[in-house]
Amino acid sequence: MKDQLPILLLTLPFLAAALLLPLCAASTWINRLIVLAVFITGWIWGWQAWVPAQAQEVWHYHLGGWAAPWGLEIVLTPFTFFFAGWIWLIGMATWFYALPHWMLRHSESVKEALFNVCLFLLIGASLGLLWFRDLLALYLDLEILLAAMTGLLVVGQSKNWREGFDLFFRGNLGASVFLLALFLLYISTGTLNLDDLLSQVFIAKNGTVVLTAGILMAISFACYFVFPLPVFYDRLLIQTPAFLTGFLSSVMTRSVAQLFFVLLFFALNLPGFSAPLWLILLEYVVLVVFLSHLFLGFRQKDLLRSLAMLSVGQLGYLFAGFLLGNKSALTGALLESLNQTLTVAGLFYITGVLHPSPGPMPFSRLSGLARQRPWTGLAFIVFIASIVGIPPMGGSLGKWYLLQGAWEKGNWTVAGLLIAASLVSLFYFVKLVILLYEHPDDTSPVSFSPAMTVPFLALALGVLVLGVFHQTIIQHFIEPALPKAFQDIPMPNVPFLGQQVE
Amino acid sequence: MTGNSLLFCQSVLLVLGLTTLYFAWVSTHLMKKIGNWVLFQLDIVLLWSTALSRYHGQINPFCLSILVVILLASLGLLSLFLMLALGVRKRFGSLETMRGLGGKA
Repeated sequence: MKDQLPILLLTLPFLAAALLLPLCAASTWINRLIVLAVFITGWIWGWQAWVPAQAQEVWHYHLGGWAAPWGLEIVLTPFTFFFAGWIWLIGMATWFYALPHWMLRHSESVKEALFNVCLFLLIGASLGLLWFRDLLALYLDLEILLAAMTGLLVVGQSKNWREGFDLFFRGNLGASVFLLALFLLYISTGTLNLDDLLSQVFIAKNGTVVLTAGILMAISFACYFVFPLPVFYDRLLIQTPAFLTGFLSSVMTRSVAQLFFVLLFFALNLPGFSAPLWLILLEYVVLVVFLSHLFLGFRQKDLLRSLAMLSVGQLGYLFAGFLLGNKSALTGALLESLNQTLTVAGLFYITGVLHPSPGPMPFSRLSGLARQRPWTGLAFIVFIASIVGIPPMGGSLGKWYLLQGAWEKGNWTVAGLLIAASLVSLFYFVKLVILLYEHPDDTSPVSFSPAMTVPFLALALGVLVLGVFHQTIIQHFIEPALPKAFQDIPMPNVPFLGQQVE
Repeated sequence: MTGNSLLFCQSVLLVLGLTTLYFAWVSTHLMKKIGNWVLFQLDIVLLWSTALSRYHGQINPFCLSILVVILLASLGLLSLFLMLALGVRKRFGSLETMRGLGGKA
């Protein structure tokens, strides 16, 4: 059975969704028990797959024994396996935070079951984005992700029908453009398998095809990358429970960003291809636009809008890594990606706990939080410190490697942008800490069950673990996930820790 | 079909597809949006079908299976679109999106 674990892990959420769907009308407690059993099964199978996944470094699984490019290939690297663990953990936390939401709505047991179906579909689709190596499977996976995301938003809040339609529509236009890119690649190379595609692109050396396909793919992912920016999703952001927005902007956006990384560096990485000037300029504009959302986010008066902007703004760090494209920068981008998944989810969870009913939440609600609820305040500080890049949080090391990458490449523009983004964030971080430790306003005491703090404290601990054990994580998880050309180059030093990364 | 005429057909389909994409984006009525999306998706299916007989005039089974999968997925997506549009009409009594090109309410 161990040999079949990749496909079992991938299909488990889909099987759970298929099992829960006919049981929608059954008892709420039966549904909840099934959900819990599935989550526990996932951890057990994940644990069993851990040893062979680490031993093989890259685990190639061919569905039904059909080798690629004819068959469907699943590839597990230690990094994507680690990332999948994060997704599973955040999915579980989202289900946990959804429980009080549904307990207040006794009569909506069918909706709760449908919510869980969509939750598992989204988890399964996110795992698929990490593990599939076939472009058609990835297209189908994107569509499932979109449908599950829309389902979650509509079932989680019935006001969201129109916003759900908008999201589904935009996402589908993007997916259709992705299909167009697939067509272009297929007629040029005759394959849709990523590894095969890389070799065919190398043989054909057709830079125009690579460039066009890359641009089409970037356009198709735009809908996911800008979620949940208030410019596009303001009503959705205000109407939706914060735990749900956190789950989607953390798991969905970062899984798509990971897919973008794989496509750029494992399928369209044509050696010797030099990007035209207009594309380079466009990349810098995109980078500035994304990073500027960190500044805009900290300046917001509403916490939800602020978090939405911070979530989108942080993607700028990943894009900076992709733009630089050297070993240090890609290491930083992948470390950032792991870190951002936790920080975005954690910050939205805290907001949801402080303000359970959907609606705007002024920053003043945070006043004195760290005095009233020290652990919650501390978790909030850990997440924001990680966004700013204060050691020893996971985000600090990611940003350090990005900076190192910019330094090695002599790209002072990106280095300047990264430093400016962190300095601006630091200024607002200090203001936020002062607000958190202010004497609380007695008119609005914070009250919630201590059990609600467990998931976001676990995520805050994850952020610390990423920072403290970054050497092990880079060596065992991130390095095998980098393009082969980078795998034998020694890693740079980390001066402020005084240690050599192997 | 010769290489040049195939390329011409593909270019025409691409231009038509991008036109429907534009109309899908700017229309403010849900059914018009769905209709234009269907046309765009159909256009992509037709583009894929131009690759069917690429290898020595034989039907390419790999490409054929891709076409079937895309067609089935498109039907599923269309049904989801219609369900969402029905939900919007039931809740708001209108199929207008109240959103223009800029996405502002």
